[in-house]
Amino acid sequence: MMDMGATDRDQRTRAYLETAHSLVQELERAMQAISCNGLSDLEESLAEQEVLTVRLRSLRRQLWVFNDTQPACLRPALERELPSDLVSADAELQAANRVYEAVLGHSSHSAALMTSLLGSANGQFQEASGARLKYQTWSCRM
Amino acid sequence: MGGLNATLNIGVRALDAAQAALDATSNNIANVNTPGYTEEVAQLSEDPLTQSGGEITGGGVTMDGIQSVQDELLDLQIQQQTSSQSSANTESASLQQIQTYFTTTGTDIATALTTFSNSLDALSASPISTATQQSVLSAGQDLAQAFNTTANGLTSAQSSANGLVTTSVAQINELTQQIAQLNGQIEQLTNSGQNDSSTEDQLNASVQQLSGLTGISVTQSKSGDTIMTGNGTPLVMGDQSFTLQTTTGSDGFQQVLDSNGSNITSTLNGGQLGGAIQMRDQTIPGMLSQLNSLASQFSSSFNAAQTQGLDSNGNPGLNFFAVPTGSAEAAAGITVSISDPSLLAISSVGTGSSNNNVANLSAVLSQALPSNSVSSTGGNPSAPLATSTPLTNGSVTSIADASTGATFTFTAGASSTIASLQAAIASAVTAGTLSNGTGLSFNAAGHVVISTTTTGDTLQVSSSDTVLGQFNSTSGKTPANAYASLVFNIGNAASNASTQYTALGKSLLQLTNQQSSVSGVNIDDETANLIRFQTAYQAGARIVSTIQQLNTVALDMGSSQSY
Amino acid sequence: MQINPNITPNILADLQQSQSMLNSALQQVATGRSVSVPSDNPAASAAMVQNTIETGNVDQYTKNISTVLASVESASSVLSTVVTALTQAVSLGTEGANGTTNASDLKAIATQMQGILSTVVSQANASVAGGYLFGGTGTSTPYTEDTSSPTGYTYNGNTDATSVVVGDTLSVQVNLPGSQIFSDPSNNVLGSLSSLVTALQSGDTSGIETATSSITSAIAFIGERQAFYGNAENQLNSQDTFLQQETVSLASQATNLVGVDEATAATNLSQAETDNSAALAATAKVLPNTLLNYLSNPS
Repeated sequence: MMDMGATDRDQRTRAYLETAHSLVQELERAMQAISCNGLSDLEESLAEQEVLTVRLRSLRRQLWVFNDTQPACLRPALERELPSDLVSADAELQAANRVYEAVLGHSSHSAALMTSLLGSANGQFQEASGARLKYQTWSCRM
Repeated sequence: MGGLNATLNIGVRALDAAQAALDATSNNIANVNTPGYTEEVAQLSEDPLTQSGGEITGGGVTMDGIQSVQDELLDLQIQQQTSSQSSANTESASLQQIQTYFTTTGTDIATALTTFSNSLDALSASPISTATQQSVLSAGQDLAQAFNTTANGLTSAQSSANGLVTTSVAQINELTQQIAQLNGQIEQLTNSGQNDSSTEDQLNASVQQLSGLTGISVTQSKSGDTIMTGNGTPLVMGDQSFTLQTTTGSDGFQQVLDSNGSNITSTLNGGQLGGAIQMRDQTIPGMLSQLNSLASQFSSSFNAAQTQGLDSNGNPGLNFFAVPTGSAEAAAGITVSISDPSLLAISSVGTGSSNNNVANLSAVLSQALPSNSVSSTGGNPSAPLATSTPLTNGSVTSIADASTGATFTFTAGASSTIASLQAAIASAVTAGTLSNGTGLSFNAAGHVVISTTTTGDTLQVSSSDTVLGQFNSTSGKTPANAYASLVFNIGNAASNASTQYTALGKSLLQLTNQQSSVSGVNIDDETANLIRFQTAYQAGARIVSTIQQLNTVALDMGSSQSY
Repeated sequence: MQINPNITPNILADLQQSQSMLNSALQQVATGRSVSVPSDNPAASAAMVQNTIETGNVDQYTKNISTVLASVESASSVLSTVVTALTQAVSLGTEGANGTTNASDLKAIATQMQGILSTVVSQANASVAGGYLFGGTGTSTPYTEDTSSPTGYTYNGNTDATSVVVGDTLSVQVNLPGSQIFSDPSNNVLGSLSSLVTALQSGDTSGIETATSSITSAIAFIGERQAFYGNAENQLNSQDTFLQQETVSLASQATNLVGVDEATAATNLSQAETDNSAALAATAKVLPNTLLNYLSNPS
């Protein structure tokens, strides 16, 4: 159980806010990397995301424990703007996360289609040449 | 602590709902590499490929061959995502417009409900003061006005979507004609052994544009592209194009017809057209229905509280609100029907008057609206459905609403038989004029009983009968709760549409960058690369889950304030 | 390889996106905080709807309590005074019933008793802020002299009881009609006092005894009526305390959800006051200081 003073808690809350903002930026960087097919950029960003989410989770746990050990009416008030900053930081993070999730979904889908296509390369179609190249008939169920 | 807990509860419930929605989506990502999914993709490679002649060879395929198919695959994905993005954009723009009616502007429903509630509370402290009585009337008028404005905002967005249907169809027809023409040109060139890449580019660009207007499925053959809508309606076949038409439907909105005149409106998905149809025919009607239910039930409950009391003149209270017939227009048409402050029913009926009825009026705002109700079509929401309402084969003998639904009992008329009444009702169920929740029962004693549990069910036995009424259900919420839910739904829908729009934009960028990238990498290397990407995407999916789990932190921390 | 023909739509899409994000950011700066449209934070928006309505209610309940508390407290203290007067009446009556009192003393006692009766009547007609405490919801003087009435007074008020809404599910009755306090059939206080005056004036010993005994039971009766007001006072006061806490909770919740400035604006909107102050508060953030000073100077 942590014994945390109010100042300490305010500091950790601010650390939480900073970390949340950094994570949003990291998600945006990852999506940028995906758009440009920048694999190493993406992999770097993912490593950073891991670090940040772990830190967020840990800060949250610490702050939660603090709240749990004190009845509400005895808890010192968070500095004036902090509570709404928390709410907006959270909203921003969740919004970015939703876009990230959708982008990952689309990209995984594309990657899987491509992998399967390449995997079938040892199979059964003949290349055509010249103008015919584009007019092989095939259909694709998406 | 009811107020505070209720407020927090709705926030938490709303967050839970969002959480559940996100959970569902993240499951989809997690399933990317499950066997079933792979199977579906594998089908791609099993689709038959035909040639114009020549044999099918196996093994030793060069990269060129793969490259051209990759190009096709990229094209198709780009088309599909362009359709989705365009649809999301259409929906997002519409929802952004709609949600302005639900923000705190001073003339919105939340503000008006607050003022109305306050005016009733003030009335209880000074019940005989003409000033406080007049304040209630004014606040009631403002509330009715707020309902009207909000409903009109929704119907005007619906109207805009309708206009978009017309313009989209016109644009589609222009494009399909162009594409057909280009197909013809290309075929001629091909037959004479030529190859004009700029015409091909034009063709691609046109098909791309078309996909932004509606979802399409493209098949390529030697005579050119065959383009159909997602549901198989032909748009282009080789050098021939098929025109879509529009016609005004029975609801006053534009219906889309194929070249044979069949109505394909509900089959259209994706693109600007699909998005407009979705908004006009599904999304906005859903919101209007919630709004109308609220207006109808609120006015009904308030009127009931009025009519159970006595006014300052000692007369039984009159209805305070008036809503138009059918409650499908409740929010747009709700008005205050009294203008004299002395008509407020402040006293209770009974020995020795008091202002106790004011508490009943206030209670309408702080207590749950009845969870089920049947609203009448007679223009008087507090009156039960007219039980003598004649039908072509009989009449309505009784209506009852209970927590499980509404029950209507019919009796055969003098000049008809129970059998003919049963037949009429059975065919109404088949024709969809009565959607039946729990079933139809035929009582041998001469009555027909219908029960329904579906909100919005309107009762009309045959086309020559008037609509008898509508079954409403608000799940027992207070007016504030019901409105707050609507605000959440709209905000959530707008947020989702915007999210999809943004995400698809980034995904499209990725695809178009792939298209324009120079390759020369062999298949094995490319496959290895893809696998690395997929591993990265999976890692990303785990991060997504972790972040979602942090969602409730703000309510835990942010709102625990000391006194 | 192919030139990417699709680059233009992407640029446009990005521009559109950044423009809308810029608009949103500008709006955030202008309003000071995060929730300006529901899509920014749907859950917070829904919670704010609830908060706004509940805050308005709590404000009004608080106003209601302060409106009626003065009357309730006054009524309670008036009835205390009445009890004192009745006690005095009983001792006068006991004295008058005592066989040792002579005729002139009796007359003196009768005069004193008349004074007490007048005092009690004027207390029955007490008013606070222009409203009669014991007239029901009537606007005429509750008790006026009436020689045709056996008690000498007639009740001109009504029997309406006022119940004030002070909570979502709490309504407190804050008055008793005078006819249930001073001229109730089961214990007619004014009647008993009048009878005592008459009996004292005429030296009717058994009449004096009867009237005095009635007044004794009236003391207990008024005491019960006083308890009604005391009880109402307690309810109102404890509800007031609760509402103060509610106000703080709701305000802090609003602050948490949407930030300080918008929470204040929302509270202003929720009050049934003119829109001007709310509009000023909202526009104050974007007006230059000099103009702001001009506008906020009361005329």
